[in-house]
Amino acid sequence: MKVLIVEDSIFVQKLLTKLIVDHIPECEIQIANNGEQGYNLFKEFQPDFITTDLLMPGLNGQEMLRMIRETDSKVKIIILSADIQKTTRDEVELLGISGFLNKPLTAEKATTMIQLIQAAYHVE
Amino acid sequence: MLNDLQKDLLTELVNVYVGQAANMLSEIVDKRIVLSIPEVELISISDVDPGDRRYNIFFSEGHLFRSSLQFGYEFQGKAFLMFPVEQAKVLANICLGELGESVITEDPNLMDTDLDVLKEVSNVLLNAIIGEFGNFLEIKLEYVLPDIELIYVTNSDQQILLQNEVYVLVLHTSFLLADTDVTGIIVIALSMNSISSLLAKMDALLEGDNG
Repeated sequence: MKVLIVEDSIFVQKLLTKLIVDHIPECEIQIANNGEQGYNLFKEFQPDFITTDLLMPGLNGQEMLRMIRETDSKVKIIILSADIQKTTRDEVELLGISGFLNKPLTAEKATTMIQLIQAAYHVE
Repeated sequence: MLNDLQKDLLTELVNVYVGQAANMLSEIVDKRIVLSIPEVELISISDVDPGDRRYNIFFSEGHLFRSSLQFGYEFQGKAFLMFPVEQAKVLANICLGELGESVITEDPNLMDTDLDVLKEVSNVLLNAIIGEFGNFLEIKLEYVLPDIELIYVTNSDQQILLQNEVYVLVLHTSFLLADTDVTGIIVIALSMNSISSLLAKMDALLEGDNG
């Protein structure tokens, strides 16, 4: 199982990494700091699951998602963003996502994320 | 500038939005947040008296951590979150404690890891408030990445929030983390066009209520 974390906050990168490693230790994790790195890692690493922020320096999460969907409609993607606008959620949902979670990452949302990753794992 | 009904509705909206943001902060730090009642003022920059505490967005002299989030285009303005530096350090330590990382309480200086945490916390809080304005107005707001800075404030500092606008709407509130002395202040400054859009939407809502 390969998971790509695209997130500009080191704090959130660490939170997500700890969460995933604690629950799914066999996961292989790669981290990107922005959408451009995320897209490059998506091509090299070929993850099964991507969790991405939206507002990031350079290429943002929504633009990265659009680029990924041009070549790959299958990879599972979940958004973890502070943006609570309905219009934002509607736009990214049109690009095909498995879930949209608003920050902060509470225990309840962390459980949801792990369940989504595990569901993607068992589909393989 | 604002009639009583507009001011009441706007205060109520801000109260709800800040309440949601405070709830998010409470979830991050696992502490209860005590909110103050928001103050809403439509002011002209030229009329601002730095000695008037109502407009004193810098609640104390000294070094402050300040995070700002700029948003546009249809609804344009800037939101600020500020803490005295030593209190910002306490907040960062509490957040890093959630990760189980060692906390250096003796060092009062903000390290890169502290700034990263504070930037993320500010991002979540300010988005929670500004995003709800977008939802209320049924428009999509575009954000610029939040800026963080450490500033030194003196009593004589002017409060220039938006350089090219005559009027600003100042939505001003503070919150306290229970069992700590961490107090933050949130200020939102809106351009005149944005204030007009907001008032038009509020008036339509108020007319609907009256009808």
